[in-house]
Amino acid sequence: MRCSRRAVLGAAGAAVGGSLLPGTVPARAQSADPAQFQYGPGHAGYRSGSVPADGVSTDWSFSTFAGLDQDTAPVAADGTVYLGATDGNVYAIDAASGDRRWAFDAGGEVRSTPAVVSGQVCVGGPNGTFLAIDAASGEQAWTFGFPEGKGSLNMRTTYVDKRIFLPGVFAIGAGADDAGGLWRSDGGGGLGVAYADGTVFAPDPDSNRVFAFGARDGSPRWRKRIGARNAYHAVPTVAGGQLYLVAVGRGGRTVLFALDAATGALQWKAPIGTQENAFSSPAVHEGTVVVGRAPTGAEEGSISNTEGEVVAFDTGTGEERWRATTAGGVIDSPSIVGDTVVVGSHGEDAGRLYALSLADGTPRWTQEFRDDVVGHTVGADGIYVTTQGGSVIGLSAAGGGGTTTTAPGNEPPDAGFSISEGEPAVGQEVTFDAAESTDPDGNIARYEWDLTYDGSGTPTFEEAGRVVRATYDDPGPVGQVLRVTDDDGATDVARGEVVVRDDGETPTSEVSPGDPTTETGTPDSGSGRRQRGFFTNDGGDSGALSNVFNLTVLGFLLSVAGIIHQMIRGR
Amino acid sequence: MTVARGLPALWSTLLGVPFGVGGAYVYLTDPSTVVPRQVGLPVVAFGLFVIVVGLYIHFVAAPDPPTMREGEEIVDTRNPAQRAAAAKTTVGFLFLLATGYLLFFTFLPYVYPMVTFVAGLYLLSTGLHTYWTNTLTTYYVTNQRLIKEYRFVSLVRQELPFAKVRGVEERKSVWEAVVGLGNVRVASGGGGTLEIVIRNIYTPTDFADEIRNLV
Repeated sequence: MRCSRRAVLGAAGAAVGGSLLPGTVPARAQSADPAQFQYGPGHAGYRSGSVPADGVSTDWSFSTFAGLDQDTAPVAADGTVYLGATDGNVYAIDAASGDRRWAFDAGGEVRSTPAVVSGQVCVGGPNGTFLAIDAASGEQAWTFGFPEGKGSLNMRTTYVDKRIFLPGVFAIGAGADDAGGLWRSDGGGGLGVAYADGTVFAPDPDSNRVFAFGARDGSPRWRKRIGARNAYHAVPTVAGGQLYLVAVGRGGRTVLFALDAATGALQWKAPIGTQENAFSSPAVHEGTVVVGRAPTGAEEGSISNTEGEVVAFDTGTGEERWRATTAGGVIDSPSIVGDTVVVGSHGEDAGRLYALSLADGTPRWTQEFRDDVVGHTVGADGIYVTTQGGSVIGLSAAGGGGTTTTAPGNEPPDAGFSISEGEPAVGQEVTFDAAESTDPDGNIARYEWDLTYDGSGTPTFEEAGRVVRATYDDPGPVGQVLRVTDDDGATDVARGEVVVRDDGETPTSEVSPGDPTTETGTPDSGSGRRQRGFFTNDGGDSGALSNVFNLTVLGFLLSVAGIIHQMIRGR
Repeated sequence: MTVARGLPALWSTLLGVPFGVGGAYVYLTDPSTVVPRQVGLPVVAFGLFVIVVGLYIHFVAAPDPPTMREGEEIVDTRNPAQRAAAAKTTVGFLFLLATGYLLFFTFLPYVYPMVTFVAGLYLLSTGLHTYWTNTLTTYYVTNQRLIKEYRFVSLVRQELPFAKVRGVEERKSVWEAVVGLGNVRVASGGGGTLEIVIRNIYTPTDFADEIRNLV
């Protein structure tokens, strides 16, 4: 399955141990905050606890309307899962039931993994903005606009004690109701920054360098040139006094660099393999650094669905400890929970979530999903996975359902529908039939439709039933959304679109595709043909002369007759 | 059975296949929401007609040489060239392509594709007719007479004894002039004139002189 060209977002949280002593708090003393990307300001990716030993099962599945372009990971905090979606919403989902608590309309695609701290959900928004949303109510707290609109849609968030560090590098002071700029550096783009010991680390693809700035005032600490131009994509990781950076070199050769966090001196570098882009940020724990590899797929810019790896190195020497093969490319950043590595991958037939032994990479269990896995987070009561199809899936130990209202092990339904006329005329009735929606382990209990979805915000499901009909009074594209609910409460959505033409337009053969499970109907052969006249198209011409079939038959008949007659006669 | 010269089956098939494929495509895929897909049917039928006639001509073959009289021998044998036919067919085909474009890729009134359709079909038809007729025609020049043989369904043989020849005339039609061919008209005198027109041949002047020398 083709992956979005945009890299996976990661939200980095950096906690400043006191604004007065930014350089004295050792990284180990800073508590990992689970409501941030990779559980900590340095993105070490380690979380204490354990994952189910015997596998997991699906508790619930929540579908956004993002279609095939979701590329962010969720975060979990206080029993809620938060996700920025490419359908333009930021979602808060109940971690136990999968019910939506609220959805915030950001007004455009959200490709940033949120950070949740101090009761606010902080996330990069569209159009060069940064948003803070009240975690309880879903109401907007404040918006920060980047100067000159320079905020990247794919920005990563580093939230540290009311300070937000963003690639660029921008430092924002975040309050309860407002935010203001603190400092801005020269250099340091990429997707995200890491924080440790009062220092912000930022790779800069444009200059082949990685920069280190003082967190308080942005003062330069050091910079180091490594890798090839425009090579950095993954968010860096800092842990144990070392900065880990994945850099793609010439020919796609990808290398993991380990630099001394204090001086930038190169400690070692180790080859990961060949890939076009680096999405997976390294995870570090107990002398082992683990990172994913995502080879390029058959199509340019795509992620392989047949090949991928998770690679582990010794943090002291860079020696490769083990290399585990996955079903497809790994753009997800690994988590290390106890002695287990949890990581998601693409796959030709199904995305997968792996649990591997940290010691030797031995698979402990594998969970399959309908779509490629693009991100995950391990929460207090479960594992939450984001798929490229725009779903968030809650998992818990196999055989256990926790307090969910969805039956343990339930497979979500698969929504899809057909459209009778992809280019209807104004006022022409269009039939939408959800007959192709299926549920692998049960039945579809409910069909809900929004037949006038404009592509942003949450659809309004005002129609129900497997087959619905609609007529449209205004020309132009009109979206439709189908949501199906199975008999266990799991849902799935599908999107489609028709292009309503007015009487003066010539129909085309293109109909915009929606969700991959949506199929549009072919133009009706009997109805909907425009009238085309012989001398003019205003409908006032002779009926016989306007019948192109008759004219064609007549012409060819005359030709054949003439040829045969002349040939029989001879000259 | 003698196979016709020039591989008419091959060339007819090459010309007929685009019609068959194009017509089938229109009928099966219905690419236009304006032009009904049934338009593809007569196009397919025409393509099949071209292929079938080409196969027939290929195996009908030109007639065998005529029986010589005592003391008679063949001095020259000429077959009409196909340049003019090829030129007409090509131009006609291009006009028909333009018809397809105007019909399926524009929304112009039918009068426009009809004009190109009529022109293209006329040129293509005359070109096909010329090609097939030339394939089945042979001219024999003996020391006593001029013979023209043609067979499509039935054999048609014209002969003109040189003793009765009253005039040898060279002519070039527009198409023949463009492609460098010509006609030679050999006529006898008197009422109910018998004449033989040798069409679409190379170097018509040389051929006419040859006839004159034998007269």
